[in-house]
This record gives sequence, structure tokens and C-alpha cells, in this order.
Amino acid sequence: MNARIRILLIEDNKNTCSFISALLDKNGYTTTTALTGREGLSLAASLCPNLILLDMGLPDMDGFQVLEQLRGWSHVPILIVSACDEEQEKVAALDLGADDYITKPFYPNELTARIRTALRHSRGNAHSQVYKALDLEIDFDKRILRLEGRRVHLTQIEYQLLSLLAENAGRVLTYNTILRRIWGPYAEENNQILRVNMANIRRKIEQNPAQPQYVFTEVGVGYRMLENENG
Amino acid sequence: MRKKQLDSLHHVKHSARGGLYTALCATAAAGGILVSRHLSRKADRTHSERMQQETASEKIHESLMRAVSHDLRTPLSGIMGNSLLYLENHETLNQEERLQLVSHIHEDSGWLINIVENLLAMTRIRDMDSTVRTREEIVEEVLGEALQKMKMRHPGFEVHAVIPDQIVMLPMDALLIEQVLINLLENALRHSGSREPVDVIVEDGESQVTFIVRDYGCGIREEALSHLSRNAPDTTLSGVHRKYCIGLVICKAIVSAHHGSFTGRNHSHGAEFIFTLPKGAFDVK
Repeated sequence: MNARIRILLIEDNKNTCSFISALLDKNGYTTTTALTGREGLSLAASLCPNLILLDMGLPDMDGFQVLEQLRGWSHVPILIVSACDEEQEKVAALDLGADDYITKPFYPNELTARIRTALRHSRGNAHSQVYKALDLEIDFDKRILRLEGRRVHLTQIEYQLLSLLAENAGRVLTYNTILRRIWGPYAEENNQILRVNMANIRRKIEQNPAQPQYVFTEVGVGYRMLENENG
Repeated sequence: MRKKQLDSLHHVKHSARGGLYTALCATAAAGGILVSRHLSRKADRTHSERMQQETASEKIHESLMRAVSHDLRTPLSGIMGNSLLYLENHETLNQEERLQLVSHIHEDSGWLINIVENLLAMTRIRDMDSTVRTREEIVEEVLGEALQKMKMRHPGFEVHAVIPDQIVMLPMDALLIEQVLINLLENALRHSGSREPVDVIVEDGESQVTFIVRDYGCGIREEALSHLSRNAPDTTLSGVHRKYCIGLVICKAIVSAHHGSFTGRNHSHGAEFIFTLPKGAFDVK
């Protein structure tokens, strides 16, 4: 076990750093902390971490700048840790290439789950042939959806939507990302059609659409599907 | 100069007794102002009307600031005290005592999160000139996210949600309406004294959508209900009941800013809160 996964934490609050480092250590990761954006950028280049946790409120630079510069040369998964609950900021960070975000205050297991998901997707072995979670199964080859063993019929668009979310299970996909992937680059900005399709899918796969088990809404941002057990 | 500062400090300290509750009652009342203002928007506003509104807005801001100094300090002092106690005595405390101190810190921070979320919600409707920013939302998505958050915070807490079969879309500020639902559910959890699942029912109507949050507990005190309906700040309510009201008064302010109605009442087996949101745009511009 000398190849522990390295995580770079860019966060200026020392208490938060110590809490997150302790949590990550307990989960088998090695953490290096940077207290400023500049330090973070240079450590990102010299350490080549497996994942970066980036706080958006840094003392010396805007978090978006750090994100932009990192994305200029690196594909390393970047998880945003933000104290801001504004949807626009989340969407902007995701559009700039962040893999996911988590809002303070968060629960420890939320953070570790996001990290696991981001690492799995970055290893590229997230694309299994079958998505399975609870009673739901999607066979990507045969394009078949089963709920409690019974086939469920989806329209073409509904299937594309759900399988896109399933391939990215565990991480949030923004409305814009989904619209572009399903309806093409000239898709309308209006996300109503997407949301109505999602509502129809919910009625087919969820026992209670107001208490979904499979596809969760992040209002104003997008959708996140339950982790794939086959991942 | 220094004397003036001291005077104003004294003033703040003195008037902080009303706390968050007073501030939010004032805000809720201003929610009412907002509605009536919307109706009379077309008529030219006189200088004195404008002045009045500015004063109302200032008042709310002022009382909010007082509230911050009052109701935030209670959980903060708990966190400060308990953690210090731990730091200074951890060697002599037994396992159980240590766990208790830490769980109190955890509890207080949970309550603090609650208050901060509500204060942030208030700042979203504080600006009286722009009413709430609404967007068409699918009701079940907003309710779903609120329920998801509750599940995170309180894993054992059971909610039974009933929504219409058809997809219901409504203009709203989703974060604020989520806050209303969370406050009502938190209230049910903390004050109903019951572990029975709470019902959340959404009913689609011709011109409005109705939300009902119904618990099966001990009901709520009539005084608290009447203070709520009068928007009257009452500093005689104390402890638990004041906290109970804070959440409700914020709910009322948020719903008013959406031009909806908010009521609470006791039914035969507990308490229920009902709010409505109008369909169709109500943008003042």
C-alpha cells in the first residue's frame, strides 16, 4: 500500500484543512494542503495529485481563476468545496470543468462519496455494461431497462437521458450539459423540455416522484443519479 | 464620538431582547406591505409613500442585525463553552461526559445552520424593490430536494409525500420555498413530540397550488398561532416557543413575497400548516 491516492486540498481555513485531512486520512488517502491559490497551483504541478479539492473563497485569487488555470493543462478531477449556495456559481464552476461540487457545511460521508465517484470516473472504468442500483437495471448494450426484473418502456429521448445519467452515476450533470449531449449543440437554452422528460421518467421508475430513489434533482443546477453498484 | 458609540451599543444591547422573532415578525409584516404595494404599483407613488417604504425596509434591516446579535449568540456560546470545557478537562472527564459535550456541540451547530439558512433566505427577500426572483419550477423537484435535505440531516425522520399525478409547474424562488418546507418539517420534528410520519400533501388547483404539512403530535399552542396570524411580535414567548415561531414567521414572509397565503391550525391529532402559491407570473415589472 505505498501507492496511496494523493489528494491536494486548496483551502485557506486551517481548521477546515485539519478536519478534511483527518477525514481523508481515515479513508486511506494522503492529503497535502495549500492555503493559497498560488501555492495550490504550484503544488498541483509538482505533486501531480489524483484529485484536487478546491475551495472557491481563497485569499489571494478567485477560485474560478484557479480552476481555469488548472483546467488549462490538467484533466485531474476537481471537486469544488464552496460556502456559496448560489446556483449560478455551481453551474459556472461545473461549466468551467469542475467535476462536482459540495456545499459547506457538508457531512463527512457526503464528501468521501463525491471523492470516490470522481476518482472512479477519472480512472475511466466507470463505464460498465450494466447499471444496477437497488431494483433498477440498465443494460447499455441491449438498451433495456428493468425495474424489479420487469421491463419498463421508455421513449427514445427518455432512454438517452437516463442512460447518460447512469453512465455518470453519482455526479451531477448540469441542464446545459444534458441538453447539449441529447439535443445537440444547437439545443435551445430553455430546459423545460428536459425537465418535463425527467418528470415523465420519474413517473415510470420512481415509486413516489416526490421522494425519488434513483434520480435526484439539484434545483437550478441539474440531475444526479444514484451510484452504480456495478461501478 | 465615543459617547455616541457607547449609546448606540447600549441601544443595541437593550433592544436585542426581542431577538430574531421580533425582526422576522417585522419582516413578515413587510411581506404584507409588499403585496399591497404590488396592487397599487400603477398609481404614482408620492414622496411620503416612498419614504415610508424606505423606513420599513430600514427597520427590517435594523431588526435583522439585532437578531443576528441575539439568536446567533446562544448556540455559539454553547459551542464555545462546551468545547472549552472539553479542552480544559478532557483528562478528568469520563467517556460518557466527553461524548455528551461533543454531542451538545454537534446539536448547537445544527441549530446554528438552521438559523443561518433562514437569515440567508431573508436576505433574498430583503430587497423590497425587486420582490422574489421567480422561475418556473416543477413542484415535485423542489419538494424532492427539500425532503432529500431533511433525510440527510435527520436519517430516521419519516415523511409521507403525496403529489398530483400530473406534472405541476409553478413560478417560485425554489431555494426559498425549499426553506419553507424545511422549516415546517423541522418544526414537526422538533415540536410535535411524536415520531409518526409527517404528511406533505400537494394539491393542484385552478389558480393556485396548495401545500399541506401535517404532523400527528401534540399540536401547537393557540397563542403561537394567533401571534403568527397578527404578525405581532411578542417578546413574552420564550425558549422553545420562540424558536418555533422564528421558522414560521420566516415561512410566512417567504410565502407573502410569493403573493401566496400561509396559515396554521390544529387538527384533531396534531398541527397542520397550509400555504398556497399562485399560478401564473406575478412579476411586478
